[in-house]
Amino acid sequence: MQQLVNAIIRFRNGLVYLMLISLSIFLLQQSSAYHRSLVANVGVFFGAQFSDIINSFTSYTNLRESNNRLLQENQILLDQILYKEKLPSDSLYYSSIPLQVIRNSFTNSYNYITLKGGMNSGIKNEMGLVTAQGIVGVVQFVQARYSQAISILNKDLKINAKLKNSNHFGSLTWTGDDPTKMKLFDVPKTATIKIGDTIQTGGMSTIFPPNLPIGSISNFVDDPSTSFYDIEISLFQDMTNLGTVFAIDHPLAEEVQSVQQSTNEK
Amino acid sequence: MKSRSYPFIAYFFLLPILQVMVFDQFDLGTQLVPHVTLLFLIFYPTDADQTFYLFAAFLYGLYLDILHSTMGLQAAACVTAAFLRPFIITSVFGKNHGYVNIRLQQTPLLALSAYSLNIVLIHHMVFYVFGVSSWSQWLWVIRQFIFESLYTLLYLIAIMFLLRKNKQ
Repeated sequence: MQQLVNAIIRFRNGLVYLMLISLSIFLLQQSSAYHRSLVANVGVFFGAQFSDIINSFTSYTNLRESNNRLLQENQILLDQILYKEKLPSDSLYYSSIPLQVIRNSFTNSYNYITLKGGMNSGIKNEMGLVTAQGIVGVVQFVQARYSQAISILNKDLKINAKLKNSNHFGSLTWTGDDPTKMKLFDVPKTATIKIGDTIQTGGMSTIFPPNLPIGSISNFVDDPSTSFYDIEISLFQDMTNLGTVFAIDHPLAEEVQSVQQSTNEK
Repeated sequence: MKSRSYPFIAYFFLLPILQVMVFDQFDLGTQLVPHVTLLFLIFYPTDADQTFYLFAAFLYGLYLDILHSTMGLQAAACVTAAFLRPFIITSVFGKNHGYVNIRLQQTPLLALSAYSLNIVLIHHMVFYVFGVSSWSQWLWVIRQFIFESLYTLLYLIAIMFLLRKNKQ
């Protein structure tokens, strides 16, 4: 017994190291998105304040670049408004709230976006974030002045998407490799697809309105052992360079969600 | 509590804030960020209790994780660098260095740089091995590891050089 105690005392640093590294790996590997986002929420509280101060300085140096991007975005938005007039009236339910991105990660497996703007600006949980080029993420935590969103570059997020040409639906996820690429699964082989086809939001939830651009097919695998395609999407939106994003507000979101909930309970 | 612990308590809290506010912005349009927070692990007294140092490094890593939303990644990297530090000190400064602290003013800059490089390499290796989301782009990961280590080392040497000049 005495020898055992002596051995523990002697190798205590090694044991402490093993314990701490196991704890780190546990934190790293734990699959619960809830716990991960809980810690991320604490990060928003502390980190957002600092990032905001820094952002107010760096935004001066990037003014020319931001101006050019805003011009392009305005142009595309204007085109979309003109296009929208031809759509059925239900697409006009949506309104948008502009938000400034103050922190955006894209090098990890689970990336988040911190935004300036929260409850005070009318931001709510589960609002979709878009730019003129495409979708960006989904709001997950809202505080008074700041909020945090799950980036589309987050392995936990699955987005309902469809092919523009044929209305076949699939599930869009990020595999963690390349911030410019995503994968579209569950598109049946009955669909005719080719490289370059546009992918849009499916609109089967209150998060994103239907028919928003996401990306184009850059590659696909036709594996004979399954009845679904494995499609690689090249995103229209450069996720490594985000300035201003728009949160999509669906005024009927709560109603739709309560209907869905009551259906699920039955 | 010894009075010389006070600066390290300040470094513990201030360096990560400085990292988020200032050095995270120095990415030069690439994804390379200088991890100057490693100064805490580098200059923590070598004659202090190693077990306490391991816990301090772990908490320091967790604090960085919270600021960066990385969940355990910095904690694993910092605690590994802290665990291997005695071996690095022995290999860089020799066996008799165990009871002499590494001091910014007295230790030659070359030896200090070699010692820092080892800490940076270990930290970054764990950081990338555990943090990488997919090994399909292993070449990118290795390139990122090498360049970010060198970029961090460059900043550490510059900071140490400036602080030495100032104090002289």
